[in-house]
Amino acid sequence: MYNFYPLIAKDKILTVSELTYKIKAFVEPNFQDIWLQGEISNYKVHSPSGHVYFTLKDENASINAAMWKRYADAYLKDRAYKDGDKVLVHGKIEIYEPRGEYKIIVDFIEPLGIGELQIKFEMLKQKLAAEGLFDKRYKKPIPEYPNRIGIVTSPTGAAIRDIINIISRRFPAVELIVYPVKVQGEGAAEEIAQAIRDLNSYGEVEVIIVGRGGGSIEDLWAFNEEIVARAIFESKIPIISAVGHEIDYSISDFVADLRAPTPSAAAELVVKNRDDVIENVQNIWYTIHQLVLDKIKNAKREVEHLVKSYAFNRPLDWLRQYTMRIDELTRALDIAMSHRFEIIKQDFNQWLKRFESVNPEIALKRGYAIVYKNGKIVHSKDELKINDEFNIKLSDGTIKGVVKGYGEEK
Amino acid sequence: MVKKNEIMENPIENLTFEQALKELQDIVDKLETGQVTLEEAIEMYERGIKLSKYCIDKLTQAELRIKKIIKDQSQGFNLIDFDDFNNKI
Repeated sequence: MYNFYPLIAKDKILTVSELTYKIKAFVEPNFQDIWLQGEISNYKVHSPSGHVYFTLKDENASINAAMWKRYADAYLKDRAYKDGDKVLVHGKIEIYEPRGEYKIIVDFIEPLGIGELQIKFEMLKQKLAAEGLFDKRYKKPIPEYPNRIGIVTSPTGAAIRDIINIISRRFPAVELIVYPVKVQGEGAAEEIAQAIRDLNSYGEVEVIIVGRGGGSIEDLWAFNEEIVARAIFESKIPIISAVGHEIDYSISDFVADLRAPTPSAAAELVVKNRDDVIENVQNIWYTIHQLVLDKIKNAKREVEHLVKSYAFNRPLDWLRQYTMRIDELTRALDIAMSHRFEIIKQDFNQWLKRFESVNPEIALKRGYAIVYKNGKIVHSKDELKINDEFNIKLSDGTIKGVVKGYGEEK
Repeated sequence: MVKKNEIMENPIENLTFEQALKELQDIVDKLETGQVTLEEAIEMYERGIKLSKYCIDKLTQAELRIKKIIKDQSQGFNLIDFDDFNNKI
């Protein structure tokens, strides 16, 4: 071997650091904006840092990849990756000088093919919009008080569980008809579309909820298929679409008569809160009660007035007319005052009281309060002495009080 | 007197909740416009009591019913109890 050393100018000799720095300075600026597809291997989440490391490879080459925690948090929240998955990533090449290695620092990742799904989604959306399937004029009103609610979803998913829980709490006076279907994978869209058509020919439900819980775009894909959109559009029964999370928009959301952000929200939209409805009925009843009592009072006053003022100083035909009016009113008043009327009124009031005593919350909501002393309900002022402490329960909480004195009796 | 019977005829048990509620609201509307005789008002009062009671009974007595719909071979539909996760809640 020759020794070349003496022939080489000293300033041409690099240190390892210098060489590596030169490579870094040469490579990095040219590989800042890289889109790269490949297959994942050696996938690892580093703990406790939360950074994710993996290798991307194809048949002939491989490259190490790292995704820092803040990107991992964003992209891996709803989707887990594993070895063998084909992905598309974006990032930049970084050379790690201490080890003379290069890797791609990833700031975006998605399964390969997702971009194509998004394009498919946009194309179908535009096509159906152009045909008018999303037009407001085709939207059917959702019934206010449905008796039977059809639900097209998986019988074992989170969606049906949430819907049942919420409806049984809010308004249990309904019947749910579950049409079990596959909500993802091969054949799911066909099953969903068939279920909608079947519920239409069954005809006994007044509204249909179609949906599923959250998932990846592929999981939710059945709800972006044309066959489902067409079935929803053709349904004679109003449809509420409830697919995934609040941020997920599906084609079925656009074509349905109402979009619910989640299955839980669909349950809240489809039934009212029972206590509110009960309160409404009671308010209507009190209004009727008051209006009729006023009417009876007015009629009484009118009879008295007629008898006093007209009867004795008018010609005979006038007199006859007024007598008839008095007779008519008196007869009505008789009915109003009659035993039958009193019984039915009392009966109802008793029933209402009993009803309110088993549902004290309803009375509280109307502004009534319950007074407690030492955890027991106080029924009489005699149970409370001066300076006794007590609690007052209102519809939205409890307040404390002390007896200062007794009011005047009226 | 023809008018008064038009809303009173329907037996309450045949009404849906929504119809009963609607009828209650109609009674309020009619009473408020004042275009009813005292006799009619009394009848509306009794009808109103029955309707209110019916509505509240309907609201409070029913429990949530859950059925699963199954299509049979002849394309007819059967309802069976939905118990897919009764043991899971």
